[in-house]
Amino acid sequence: MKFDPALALHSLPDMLHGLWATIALAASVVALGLLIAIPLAVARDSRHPVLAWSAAAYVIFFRGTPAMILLFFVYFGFGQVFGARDGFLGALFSNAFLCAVIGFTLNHSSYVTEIVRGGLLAVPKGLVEAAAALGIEPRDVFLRIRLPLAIRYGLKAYQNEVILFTKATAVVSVITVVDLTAVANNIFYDTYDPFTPLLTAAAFYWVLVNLLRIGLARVDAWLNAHLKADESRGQAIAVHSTARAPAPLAPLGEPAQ
Amino acid sequence: MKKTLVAFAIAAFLPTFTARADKLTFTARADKLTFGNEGVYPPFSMVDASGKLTGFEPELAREMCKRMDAECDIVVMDFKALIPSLLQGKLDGVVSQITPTPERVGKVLFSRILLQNLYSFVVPVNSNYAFTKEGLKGVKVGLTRGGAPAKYMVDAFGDAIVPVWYDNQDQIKLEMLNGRVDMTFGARVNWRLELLDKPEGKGWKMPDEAFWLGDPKTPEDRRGLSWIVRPGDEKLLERMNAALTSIIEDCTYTKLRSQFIQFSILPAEAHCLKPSG
Amino acid sequence: MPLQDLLGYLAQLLGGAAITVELAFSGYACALTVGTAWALLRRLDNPVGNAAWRAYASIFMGVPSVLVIFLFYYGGSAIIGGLVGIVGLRPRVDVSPFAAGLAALTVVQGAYSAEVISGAMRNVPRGQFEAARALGIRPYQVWWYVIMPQVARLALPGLTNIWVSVLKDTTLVALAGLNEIVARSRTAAGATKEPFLFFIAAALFFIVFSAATLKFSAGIERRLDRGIARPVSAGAEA
Repeated sequence: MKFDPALALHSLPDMLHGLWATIALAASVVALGLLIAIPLAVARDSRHPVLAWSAAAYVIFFRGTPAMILLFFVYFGFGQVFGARDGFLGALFSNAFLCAVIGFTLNHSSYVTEIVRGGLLAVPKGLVEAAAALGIEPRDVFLRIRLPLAIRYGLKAYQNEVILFTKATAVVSVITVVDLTAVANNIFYDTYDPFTPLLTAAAFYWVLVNLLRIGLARVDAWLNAHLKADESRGQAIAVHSTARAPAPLAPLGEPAQ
Repeated sequence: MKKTLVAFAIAAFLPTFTARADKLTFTARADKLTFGNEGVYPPFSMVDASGKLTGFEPELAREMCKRMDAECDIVVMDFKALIPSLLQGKLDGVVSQITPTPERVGKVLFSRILLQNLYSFVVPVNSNYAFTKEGLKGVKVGLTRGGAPAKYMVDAFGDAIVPVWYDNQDQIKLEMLNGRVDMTFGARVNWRLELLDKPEGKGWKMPDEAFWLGDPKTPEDRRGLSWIVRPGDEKLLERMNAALTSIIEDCTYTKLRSQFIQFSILPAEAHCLKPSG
Repeated sequence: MPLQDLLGYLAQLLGGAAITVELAFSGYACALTVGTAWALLRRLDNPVGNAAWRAYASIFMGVPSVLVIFLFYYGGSAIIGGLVGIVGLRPRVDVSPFAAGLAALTVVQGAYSAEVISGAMRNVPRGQFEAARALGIRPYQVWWYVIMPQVARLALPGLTNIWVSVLKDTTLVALAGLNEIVARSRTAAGATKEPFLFFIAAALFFIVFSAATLKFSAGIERRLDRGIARPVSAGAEA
C-alpha cells in the first residue's frame, strides 16, 4: 500500500479540474434544489388534493430512488428521446453535465422538500394563530414568520443533507461527467496504482466537506445567536437529524419519514 | 423483545454468515484458474439475454482450459478493471485481447499473439477531419477507460480533443448513434462488424489508416494482440501457449472464430482457410 | 425487441435485486454492530478512545462512500495483507466486489449508526441508570433490560434512515463491478433500447422496498412505544 507523492503532484492540475466540476455541480444543484423545494413543501401540505398528491408523488418517487438510477434515467432515458433532436431540449439532454444537474436536483430537492416541510410543521401553532389574530396577511405570516422559523428548525438537517449530497456527486462519472472521482479513477486506470489517486481525491473531498461543515456552522451560529441559551429544543431535534433525515415532526419519538 | 432481537439478528446476519467463500473472495485455489474477460466487446465477447458469457474469446478460453486440463472460471468485469485485478491477484490471467503497449510490456507477461486488430478512427460519413491537434479541436471522442486506444488519443491529442469516457464499446456505439459524441478511435474488426456493416452504421465511416499501438519495431505480420498473466507466472503462460498453439494448429481456432467473424484475423490460421473461389 | 428477451432481462433484474437485498441486510447488520461498539466505547469517555472516534468519524463521514468502496476493492488485498502481515502471516485473499461493498458499508454507515446510537444513549434519562442501580439490578441486566430497549426506541428513527441509506448505497457497489439491480438495468436498457422500462422498474424496486421497511419500522416503533406517555405537541403552547 504505497503512496507515490510524485504521481500525486503530477496529477494535481487534472484533479483540480475535477474538483472544480464537482463544486460546480454541487453548487448548481443545491441552489436549484432549494428553489424548487420551498414551493413543493407548501404544496405538500396544501388543501388542494391535486397539489398535495402531486407533491407527495414527487417526493416519494425521487427520494426513494437511488441517485444513480435517476442519473441513468435522465441521461439515457430522456437523452434517447430528445437527444438526437435539434433545439433546446436536444442541446439540454445531450449535455452530460446538465443531465447530471437535472438528475441530482430531482433527488436532492425531494429531500430538501421534506426538511422544509418538517421545519414548517415544527413552527409552534400558537405563533401562527397569534399572527392571524393580529390581522397579518397569510402571505406575510408565511414569509415573515413561518419560513424564517422553519429555516431555523430545519437548518441542522439541511446542513447534513447538503454535505451528504456533495459526497454523493462522486458517482456522476457513470454518465461521463468528469468530476474529481472520475479524474482519480482515470489516473488509476492509466497507472494501475489505486492508492495514490484515490487517496489524493479522498483528501480533496475531506477538505471540501470540512470547509462546508465549518461554513454551514457559521451560518447556523449567525442565525441562532439568540438561541444559545435555549439548548434543549436544539438537542431534541439533533437526535433525529441523522443521515439524510428530514427535520423531525414536533413530538419527540415520531419517526422522520 | 429478546425474541424479536434474536429473530432480527438472524435475518440480518444470515446473508453474511452463509456467504460462500467465493462471494467474498476471489481466492485463487491451486486447482482452479480464474480468468477475466471484458464481456462487452462484440464480436469477441458478449453476454447474452440469459446471462451467459459468449463470443470468440470466451469460447477460445474454454477450449484452452479443456486442453490445459484445468478447471477455469471466467469472470466478467469492465475492461478498466482487468489489468489492475490481474496485478492484484484477483485473476490468474486476462482472456480479453490486450495490446502490447510499451507501458504494459514492463508490467505483465504476454502470451503468443492470438489475433490481429489494429485501431482506426470512426467518423461520421460526411465529415472531413484532419487528424491533427488543430483538426480535432473540441471534438468529442468516445473512449473506453483503461484501453490502449484511449491512452493513445490522450497522449497524441492532449487538450485538443474532449475525451468522453465509457466503460465499453457498446456504450460508445449508443452515444455515437444518438449524437453525444462526434467520433471514436477503436478496434477495426469490432467497429466494422458491429457498426459499419450494420444498417445503423450507414452514417459512419472508417478511414483506411490503421494504427498499431505496440512497439513500432514489431514486424507487420507479428503485430497482434495477446492474453496476459502476471510476471512470475511463466509456467502458467507456457501451458496456455501450448494449448493455444495446438488449438490454432488443428484448426479448432478457425472453427470457433468463424462462428463470430467471417474473415481471418490471424496469419497463423492460414493453413486452415479454404481457398476462396 | 421480442417479448421473450424483455422478460428475460426483467428476470435478470430480479436476480440483481436479490443481490442488492443480500448486501443491504448484511451491510446494515454489520454497520449496527460496529456502530454499537463505537457508541459503547464513547461512553467510556477514554481520551484515546475519543480521539480514535474523532479520527474515524472524520474520515469515513468526510469522504464519499464510493471512494471507500474503490479503495477496499482495488486495495483490499493489500490492506488485508498489510494488517495481517503485522502478525507475520501472508495470506493471498482477494476481495470481491460484494466483500468490498460490505466492508465499505459497514465502516461508513457504522459511523453514522454510532452517532445515532450514541445520541440515543445520551438521551436516556440518567435517572434510569440510577434507579436501576438503586434497585440492585446487576450492570449487565441494567443494560439489557432497561437501557437498550430505551435506546432502541430513541434510535429507531435515525436507524431507519440509515437502513434506507444502506439500501441505496448498495447501488454504488455496481461501480466496483457488482452485478446488482442497477448494473443489470443499465445492461438491459442498452441491449433492448428500452431505458425507461428498466430504469423505472429498478426505481420501483427501491421505492417499494423502502416503503415496506418503513411500514415495518413503524410497526416496531408502535411496539417499542408501549407504555410511553407521548409528550405534548410543541405546537400546543400558547
